[in-house]
Amino acid sequence: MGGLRPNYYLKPQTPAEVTSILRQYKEHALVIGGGTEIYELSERGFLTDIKALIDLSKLGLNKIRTHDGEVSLGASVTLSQLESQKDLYRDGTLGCLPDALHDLGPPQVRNVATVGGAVTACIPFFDLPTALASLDSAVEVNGEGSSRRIPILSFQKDYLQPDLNEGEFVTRILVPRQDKGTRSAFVKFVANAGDWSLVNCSCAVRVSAGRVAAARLVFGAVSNKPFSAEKTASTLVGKELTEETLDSAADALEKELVDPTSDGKASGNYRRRLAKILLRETVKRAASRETR
Amino acid sequence: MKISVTLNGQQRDVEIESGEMLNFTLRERLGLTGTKRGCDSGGCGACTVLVDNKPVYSCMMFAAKVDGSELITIEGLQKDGQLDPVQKAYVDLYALQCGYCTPGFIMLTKALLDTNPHPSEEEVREALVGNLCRCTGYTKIVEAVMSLSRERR
Repeated sequence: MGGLRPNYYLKPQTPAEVTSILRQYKEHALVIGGGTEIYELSERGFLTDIKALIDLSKLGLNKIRTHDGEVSLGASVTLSQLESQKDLYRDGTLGCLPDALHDLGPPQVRNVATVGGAVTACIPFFDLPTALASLDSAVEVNGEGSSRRIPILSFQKDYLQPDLNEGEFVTRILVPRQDKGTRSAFVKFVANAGDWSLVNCSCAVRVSAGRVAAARLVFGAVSNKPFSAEKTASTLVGKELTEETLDSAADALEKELVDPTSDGKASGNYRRRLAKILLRETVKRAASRETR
Repeated sequence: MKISVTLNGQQRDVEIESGEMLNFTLRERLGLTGTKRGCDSGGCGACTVLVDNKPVYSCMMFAAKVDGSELITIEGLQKDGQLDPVQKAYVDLYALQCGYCTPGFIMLTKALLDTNPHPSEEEVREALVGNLCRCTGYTKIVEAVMSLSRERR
């Protein structure tokens, strides 16, 4: 066994109980989703100072609800549960989600890992945060009986660093209503079938009368948090989606993507080249997505 | 702490440590060594068991999390000394050699066929993505699962 040796595994029944445990144990408490990533961190010798694990499964956060076009994903919703929501993906608007979930890992992981965990872990090469960010999603955080909403791009502050104050924990992920006609897609590049993304890309695009009316483009695994390529996305707006338009978007990305992550798996330059290729693929896939 | 589970159809209470993984509980505390400990990091699938009929990696599942759940391990498949059809197909079609990965593959196959009784070959290969076999080259395994898929049509 790895570094983790908790004294307690707790299943609080109410949000107030969660907060009270977090206050009591401070940095020695850890909220877990499915626990799969926690285990990996533990096996690498981390988390030795954790005394209490907090399991949210008794809080009823395993619901997916749609209200007024906004989709609310409870923190305990599993990745396979989210993937199975065929009705949610029928018009292609949220198509980036099943794209990202489908190849995210084996069924044994998807059955256990949760949406809340995938976002709160703040692991930069995860796929789901990139897809959620391209839909402008927000994270709902609860603490001391009140809740606040944080855009996912600012919630993920840095590697392993969520924007959570003492006593706070993630309750839901909120995918806002998208403008009518929006389509989204997610594409990643991996070195082998079981590996993490070297680079991933998610795009939400709305084409009206043959021209791009709005576009959001987010890349993962190129920095310590999902990277929203706003300048690159803005070069698409007002244009027809031709090869020339995509060429100039790729040129814009070359400039905008300054100093992408360089590590043992891939150099920054290689990641930038991959990002430019994924950009074209993802935008095309999103724009050509049809209602199913 | 104590957890209560339904293990292969029987109610079991077992004393565990808070941070313990289900793989350890099954093998070391309950003596069910049919479930293997392979890579121990969620990559090889040899430790696959069913929790509430869904396949999970027991090596990265907190034992405390499955309190109140129904667990099925490879030991729970045979009935009155008769192999489960999935086990029988693996034997009949030589879908194993050393056998170390086999319990994991069989549990995964069981779960796959319960939700999708006649998967296509592509669906089978996709479902088995989280299980590694070093002996067979997978061909025989896919053939065994496909034979069951056809049989159930």
